[in-house]
Order: sequence, then structure tokens, then C-alpha cells
Amino acid sequence: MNNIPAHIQRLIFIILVIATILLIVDLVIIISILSEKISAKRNAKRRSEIREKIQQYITAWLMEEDLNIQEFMSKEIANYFSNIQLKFKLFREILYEEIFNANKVLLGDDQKKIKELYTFFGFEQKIKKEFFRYKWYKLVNATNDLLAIKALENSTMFTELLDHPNQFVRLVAIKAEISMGGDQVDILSEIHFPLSDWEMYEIISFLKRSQFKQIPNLSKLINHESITLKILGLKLANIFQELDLDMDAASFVVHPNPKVRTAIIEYLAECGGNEYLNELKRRFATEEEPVKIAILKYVSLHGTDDDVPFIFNKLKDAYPAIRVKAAETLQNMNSNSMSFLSYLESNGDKSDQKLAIHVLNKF
Amino acid sequence: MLTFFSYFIQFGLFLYCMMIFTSYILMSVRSWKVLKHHKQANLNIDFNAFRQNPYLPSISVVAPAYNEGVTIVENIRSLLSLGYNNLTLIIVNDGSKDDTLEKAIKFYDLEKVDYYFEYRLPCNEIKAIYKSKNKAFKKLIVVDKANGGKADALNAGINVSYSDYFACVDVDCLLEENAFEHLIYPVINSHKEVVAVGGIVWLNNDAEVYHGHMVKLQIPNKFLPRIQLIEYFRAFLLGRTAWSSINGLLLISGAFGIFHRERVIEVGGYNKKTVGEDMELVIRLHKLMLNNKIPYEVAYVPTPLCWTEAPVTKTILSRQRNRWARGTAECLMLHRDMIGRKKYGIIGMLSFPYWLIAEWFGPFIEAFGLIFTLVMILLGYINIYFFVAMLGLVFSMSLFFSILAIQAQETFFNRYSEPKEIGRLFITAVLEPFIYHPLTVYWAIKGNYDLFFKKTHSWGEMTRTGYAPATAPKKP
Amino acid sequence: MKILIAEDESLLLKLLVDKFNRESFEVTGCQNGLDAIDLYDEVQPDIVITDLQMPFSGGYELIFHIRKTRDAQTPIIVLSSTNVEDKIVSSLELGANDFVEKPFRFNELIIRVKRLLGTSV
Repeated sequence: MNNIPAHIQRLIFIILVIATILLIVDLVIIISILSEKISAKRNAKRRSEIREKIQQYITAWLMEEDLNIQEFMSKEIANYFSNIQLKFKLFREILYEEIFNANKVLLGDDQKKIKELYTFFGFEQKIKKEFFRYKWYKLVNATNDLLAIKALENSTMFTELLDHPNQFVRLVAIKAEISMGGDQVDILSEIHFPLSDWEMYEIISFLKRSQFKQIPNLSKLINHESITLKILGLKLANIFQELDLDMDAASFVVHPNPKVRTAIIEYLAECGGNEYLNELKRRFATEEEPVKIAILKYVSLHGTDDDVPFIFNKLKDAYPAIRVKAAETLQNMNSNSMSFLSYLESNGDKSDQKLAIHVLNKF
Repeated sequence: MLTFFSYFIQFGLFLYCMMIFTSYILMSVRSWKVLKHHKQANLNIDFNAFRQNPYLPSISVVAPAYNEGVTIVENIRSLLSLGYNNLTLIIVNDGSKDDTLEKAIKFYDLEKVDYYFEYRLPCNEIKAIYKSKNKAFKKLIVVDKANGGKADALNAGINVSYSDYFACVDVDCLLEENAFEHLIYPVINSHKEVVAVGGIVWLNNDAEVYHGHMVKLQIPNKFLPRIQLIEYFRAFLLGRTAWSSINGLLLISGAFGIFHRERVIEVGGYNKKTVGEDMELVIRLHKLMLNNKIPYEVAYVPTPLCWTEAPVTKTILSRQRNRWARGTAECLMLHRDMIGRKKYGIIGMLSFPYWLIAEWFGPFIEAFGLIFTLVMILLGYINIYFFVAMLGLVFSMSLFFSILAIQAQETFFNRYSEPKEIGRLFITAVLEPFIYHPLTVYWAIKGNYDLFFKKTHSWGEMTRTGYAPATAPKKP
Repeated sequence: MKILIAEDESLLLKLLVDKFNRESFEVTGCQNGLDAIDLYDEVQPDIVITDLQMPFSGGYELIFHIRKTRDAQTPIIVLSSTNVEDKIVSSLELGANDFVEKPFRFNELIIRVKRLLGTSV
């Protein structure tokens, strides 16, 4: 190597050093993965054995009718587990999982018994510890679990989390606040971040699951300046059938945001009267696809025989999906429009005939 | 003079090398962050609860089938068992020459119906549409059409679909039970319009499959699929994850993805004249949205949702790679007007140049570099020690990314449990640069040669190249 | 009385088996739809409880098998966590006798089973 210029020698040296470092890193990764795999494999067998035992044990507890949990524990637990096993982290992990699996599918007395199990093993303390780890996904997970097993205690920590930059934290904070008995609308109108469709759905289904009969004061949400809260408010009004709302529906019908228009028309279709029929028919031509579908729904619920020509016209809409919806509207509106559709099945032009057959056979 | 020339080219090659490795490092760092966040978020999304959601966008699964008689019944059964609430299943029989259609008719009790549709996208004649008399299969629609290739069959399926989104699925792929819940999540959780969503396509050679469901996954036994598995890890875990996080994804795998129906119709559907129809469609969607300045997203879900078998023999693999190379070249040439244009943002300034240099020209540069250096060594212009050191660096770098990809799989997915199999995967990773990589370079160059000189242009060609049943029928 | 239970979650299946055993049923349990179809032919149960979403083949195919392929009137109760109208309706259309939504009460389920057996025996 003596006849090589010095600068190239230096270059070769640097290159070799980099290559060696990379290879060493590779080796470290390989060894760590393999050792982890080997220990995981050993654990997997133990895991499934413990799970089997825990399932038998939970079943036995749910079948128990005479003993209370203390008595049951002192009498029966030795049949399933040794004292050492009870202290394993693995044991508590699997027990926790299985308790929540059971909690998800059971109701009534059985669910109460599952909760007793949860309290007996002191999982409350475990969950509370997660609250202070400041890892957002652990906080969210822990709160969701507490909500599921109905063990969330009052706490002020969620109020400030309503404005957390992470959407999962925000969402769980909303749920927690509502389940602690706060006013739903007041809490929701605190939200500053726009809601995505998914978040709206999560909130709606949470409110439904919590078995509220109605949501008071929804007008506040509907008249909120945030567009997404407006939409959420209208959707909630639709689902909870709130008829008495203080809002300017006419301005929403011409709102620049198509999602607001869709939501208000769907609400009016379900809960309103026929006063917007002409306005909506006039707007139809310039609307986007989802709004058009909402208008057709409105017409099918509030339209009269006079509207049949309007719908018939829509059988020639630019979008085939709208054409099918229009034919469905004829089918659903009233008996006259229905017989008109049947008439089209044999007497319309070729495209109308096919449409009628398609809809009448519910393809 | 020649010495200077040789140094000049060496410097260029060195620069290319460094550029590629730097971009790999950047992508890996970015991907790691995204994958971590994705995993933590997924812990808190109940995808099974999605099934209850009545407001989810509707999806039509469009699955073209050509000569799939052996497996069609099982494949349809597997697709029908998907849990998504708002799902229609459109099987397009693309003029099969075997008994694909007859078997489906017989097993699923199908009858011809007068289904209303329009030829909104160009496709060959749709001869008939079938639906089941049995209510258990009311989500199933079978389209019988004249043969026209994969893109043509997909267009036909889109014509028949009335759903908000459609999914293109290779009929022989296995889908995870809640694949569509995962795919629709970015759609309903975005404030922009989501025009397409892709997922990870993962290999399941040698996995135990029972009635269309995977019972046990394992690392492929054969060398070629095992090497491809590492390639897939690199591409899907470290590559696409990073690109999608900056909305720069150019390719959603043709085997599996969902697309906004109206937008796809607006851009004219799948292009029948290219073999890279999946990539070409995504590029046109990007173009449409960027031209009209509509805020949009091409999303990607870094979760394995679709399982497929990799080619096992060299012949079939070489055909696949040949096709990929031709597809890439065609797409980039067809849309060359986007390269470097500021108007096209990340796509024009970053994604396109990267694809151009790393994916299209890459094999040429590599091959040229190797031959050039060897010649120069023989002529005595390049020092052999320097060459060996460089070779060592390139090897250790490429091995590093393979190992990193395997580590990403372990950290974020952990789908394999046998330590012995993982060990074999490592050995494969070490061998890859010597045995497999030169082959892929050769196949890519061959693909380009075929495209430009042998006039096996796929333009205007109607024979199927897309998705002939490349693999053996799945285990029962 | 023989009862066939198809439910993919192992803890719930164990519970169902034990509860119905106590009610002195002869219980056969399985965790997927294909096993359920085979077991149905083998055991000839007096009543079937099935989940809708199970690996390999769901509850729909089991109902279809019992009502159409075997043309039997064995009472079927669907036990599922879905509350999607379409799915509930189509399982009933296919021939299921009753639908119980998860989460559920065991006592209620047992009464429904007994009532179905009382009327159909």
C-alpha cells in the first residue's frame, strides 16, 4: 500500500472505520433481537397456561352463588395458583386483560362480580399510577379502561386536557368530563380544535352508550362559531330527536360549508316540517353529491305528489348514484310515486326501465 | 487526462452512493417516528367498534379474477367474511377461459340480474351481472365481461360500484379481518379530502392457511421469497411510511388500496396502456388535486392488512420485476411534466426526482459503476484497495438498512415467533447484496431494454400481463 | 337437551358452557364457524347459540347450513356485539329465531333459550 498517495490512504481508512462501525451495530441488533425472541418464546408457553387457568378461575367465580369474594378467594385460589404465581407481573397482566374482556360482554350481576374482582386485586392503584407517567397513550388507555369498568373518580385533571394537542387525549378528556356529570354541551363547546368525523362519531356513540335520554341546550352548540361543533350539534339533535331548537335553519341551508348543509337537511328531514321543500328543490342542481342525497331524503319524507316530476327529472342526473337515489325516493315517498316507478318499469325509456328494475329488486 | 476523467466519474458515483444512503437514513428516521406514533395511537382505537358505526363511508371491493377456477369459491368466501359494515363485493370475471364463472354461479347460487350501471369509465363489454338468490350473500355482485386486462377489469368494477370508496384487491390476496376499518380510519379522521389510502402488503409464503384464513404465519422457507420479504420490510416499513407522512406517496400497491370513487372517475380511471396502472392512477390523482389546489391527502396505513404469496421461481420473479421496471419508466415518462415543477410541491420537487434517480436510473448507475470500476482497475487507473474499501462500505450500508427494517418489524409488529426463523432471515440479509441484488439490477435493465428496443411496449397491447396466477394454489 | 354454542372468545365460551351445564344441558362448544357446521351434523343439538363474527366462516353460514342445507327447524339464537340494523335483520331473515346483543345478561339468555325450547319441543 506504500505507493498510494497519503490522502487516498486516509480516505480508505475512514471508509473502513465507518463500515466496521455499521457492522458492529448490525451485530448488536441481531443479538438483541435473537435473545429477545428466545425469551419471548419461553414466555409464550407459560402465558397460555396462565391464561387458561385464569379463565377457569374467573368462570368459577362467576358461577359462585353463595360465597362473597373474600371467602371465595381464601377458599378457592389455592386450587388454581400458587402464591408465587400470584406475584408474577405476567399473571397480573393477563388477569387484567381477561377482566376487561369479560367486562365488555357482560351486564348486570355478572358485570358487578367482574368489578369486584377488579377491586379485589387492586387494579385501581395500578391504573392511577399510569396517570402520572405522562405517556399520553398510557393515560388514554387507563382512562378508557376506567370508563369501561365505571370506576372513574372525580378529578380536575381532565379540564385542562380538553385543549391538549393530541386528539386521543382530547377525546378521552371529553368522555371523562361528561361521565363525571358535567353538562355535555358546556364541555363540548370548550373544544377549540376542529373535530374530525371520527371524533364526532366517538362522541356520539359515547353519549348513546351512556344512555342519556336527551342533551339539553343543544342550540348553544349549533350556534357555536366552530363549524365542526355546529355539525356535531346538528347530528346530535338528529339522533336525540331534539325538536325544540333555537336556531336559524334557513341560514344553515345556504351555509357555505357543504357538511353543515348536509347535516341541517338531514336534521330537517327527520325532525322538521316541509317548509324547506321548494328552497331545497331549487338548490338541488348546484349542490354536491352528499347534499343532493340529503335533499332526496328530505323529499322522500316530506314530498307530495307534486314533487314527482322533480324526482322524475333527477332520474337523468349527471351522477348515476344520484339517479339510483332518485328512483329509491320514488319508491319510498308515497304510494303514488311508487306506482309511478312501477309504471316506469314497463313503460319508461330504456334507462328509466333499468333503473326501476334495479331499485324495485333492491340490488 | 484519463486519470482525471476516471476521478471525475468515480466522484460522481461516490456522490450518488452518498445521496442514496443519506435519503435512506432520513427516511428511516422519519418512518421510525411515524411507526411509533401509529402503534401508540392504534392501542387506543377500537377497530371492532368501527363495525357498529352506521356513518362510515361505503366501500366496494373490486376484485378482478382471471382463470381462478381452482380457488375462486374460497377466495370469495374469504372476502365475504370481512367484517366491515358498509361493504359491497364486486368480483369481475375478466373473460376467464376456465370455469371461474361457472363455479361461482353454482356455489353462490347466482342469477343474472338487470343491474343498472353506466359505462362511465372505458372498459370492454360487460356481458352480464349476477347476484345471489341467497340472502346470506346479498353483498356479492359478480360481473362477467370480455377479457381486457387488469386495468380494464377494475374500470368495469368501478362502473358497477355506487360506494363512496372502492378498493382494488387481488383476488388471491388474504385480507385481515378488519382491513377496511383500518383503511377507512385516515379518511374519517382527516380534515382534508382523502383520495386514496394504501396499506402494507406482506408476504405469507409457507404460512398455514385454512379456508381463506391465516392460521400461522412463518418466514418463507425458500430463499427467494425470504429475500423478497426483507425487500418488502424495507419498502413498506422504512420507505412508504416516510413518504406518506409528507404526502409524497407515488405508489399504492395494486394488490391492495382504497380510492375515492368520484375522483378516480374524474381522472378517467385506470390507464389500460401501461403495466404500472396502479402507480399511474395515483400520480394522476395527485396531479388533479394539485392542479385544482384542493387540499388533499394520499394516506397510508402502516399495518399489515393484505397477505400475498411472492413468486418462488426465478423466471416468474424476473417477469414481475421486468414489469415493475417498465411500469416505473412508463409512469415517469408519461408525467415528466411534473418533474421539478414548483406547482406540484413535494410530488414534483421530491418524490418524482427521487423515483427518477433512485428507482429508474438507479440500476443503470449501479451497473455502469461496477463495470467502469472493474475496467479502470484492469487498466490500473483505480487503486484496488480503494475499490475494496468502497465495496465494503456499500455492503455494510445496505446490510444496515436490511437489519434496521427487520428491527422495525420486531419493534412495531412482531409477527414472527420462532427465533430460528429470524436467524435465517438475518443470514438471508447478509447474502442479499451478493446473490440477489445483482439479479434485480439485471432484471430492471432488461425491463427498460424491452420497453425501448424490443417494442414489447405495453401500449396498445391487449394480452394480459397483469396478474396471471403466478403462484401455486393456496393450501386448503 | 343438547345445545351447541359457537363463540370465538374463549373466556365467554367457557362461561357459556359452564352456565348451561349447570342448567343441565348437554353442551358442545366451539370457537369457529366451520367447526360449528361439522359439530351441528355430528351432535344434532336441540338448540344453537352462535356469534356472527367468527374466524373461517361466520354465523350466517351456520344459520344457512341449518335452515337451507339441512332444512332443519332447530332454534337458533344469535349472540353478537353488532347493533347494526342490517346485520341483525339479515340474520333473522336467514332464519335465526332470536337475537341477543352483547353485552348481555346470562339470566336473560337462559330464559330465552328455555322459552324457545318450550315452544318448539
